[in-house]
Amino acid sequence: MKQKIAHILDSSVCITKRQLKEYVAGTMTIEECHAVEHHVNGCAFCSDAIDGAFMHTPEEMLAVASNFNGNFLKAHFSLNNPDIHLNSMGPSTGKKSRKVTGHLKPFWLKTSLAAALVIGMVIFLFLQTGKGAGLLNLKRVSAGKETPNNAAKQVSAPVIGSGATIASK
Amino acid sequence: MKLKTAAVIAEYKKLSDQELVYRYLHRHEDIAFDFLFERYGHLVLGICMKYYTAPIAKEKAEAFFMQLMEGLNKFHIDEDFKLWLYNYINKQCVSDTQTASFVTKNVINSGGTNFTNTEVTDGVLKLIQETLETLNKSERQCIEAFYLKDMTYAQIANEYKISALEVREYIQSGLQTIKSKNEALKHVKQ
Repeated sequence: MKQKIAHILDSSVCITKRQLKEYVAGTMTIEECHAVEHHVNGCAFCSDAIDGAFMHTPEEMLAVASNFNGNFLKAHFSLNNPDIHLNSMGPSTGKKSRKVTGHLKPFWLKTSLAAALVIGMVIFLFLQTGKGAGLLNLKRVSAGKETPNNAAKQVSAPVIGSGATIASK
Repeated sequence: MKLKTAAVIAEYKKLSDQELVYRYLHRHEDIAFDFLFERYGHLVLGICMKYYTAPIAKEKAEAFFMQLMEGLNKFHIDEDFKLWLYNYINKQCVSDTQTASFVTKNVINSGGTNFTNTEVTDGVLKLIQETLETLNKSERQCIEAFYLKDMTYAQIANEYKISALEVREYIQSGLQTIKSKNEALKHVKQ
């Protein structure tokens, strides 16, 4: 008995929409009905809500309670935040467009840079091979009108000459 | 606005009323307001049904919730939200219907409502038992039948040949007496 008396001052969470409807409709089990009434004894909010529900016929109350949902809130919030319409094809005004940070280079620039690098490598390899080296020598000859041996002599000549001039002195 | 995924629903269901209000007001999370509506929407509708016919009650309840979006700014985060909302909705209904007599009745009811659990010590148990003896016969019979025999309003009404509404009124008035004496005891101890 003491244990039961101790529960007199207990409070619990408010009744749910389902409980309200079932309580008014009289389709609740005795245990749950007792639990609901236990809460109602100490809660003016639920007590008044049940009073209000009983002021109408159960059919009327159930019809209104079933139609009373959060759709009006959804409509209100979607008006304030149009960007939540994921399927909308219209421009979004609620959210700012993402800022582009950094400089994006166009695709052709990267491609041309890569092509230039490849061409440069091919030329370098070509010049390293025998044909390339020969071509390079021909170019040198045609530019100076001298053979590579003459060029070597020309380079060494001033040294000899300078040595001779020293010796003659 | 967050989408209502299972994880989000689970997260928000755990939140207290104050936390939901805070998230709506300061973080602009509309979904928090949705959860407040889920918790109390049907109760607000029930209160509106006391004042209006069923179809109008629905419209009024929706209108009061729309007004509540602004009205929440007056709510202090350390208050009991449920009690605050109860008084807010009643005031809205009263000011809408202009029935001054209702104000007095509801202020008295809400003032005596205790939404918090009381720690039951031996002293409190003794107080409850003593107070039960002082209640009038109808109040005592109904409280004993409800709390000691686990009977419902309807069963008690059948037993004592009174209406279920009378049963509830007897129980609530008896509980009110017990709670007020318990409060008085707390003040004496402090």
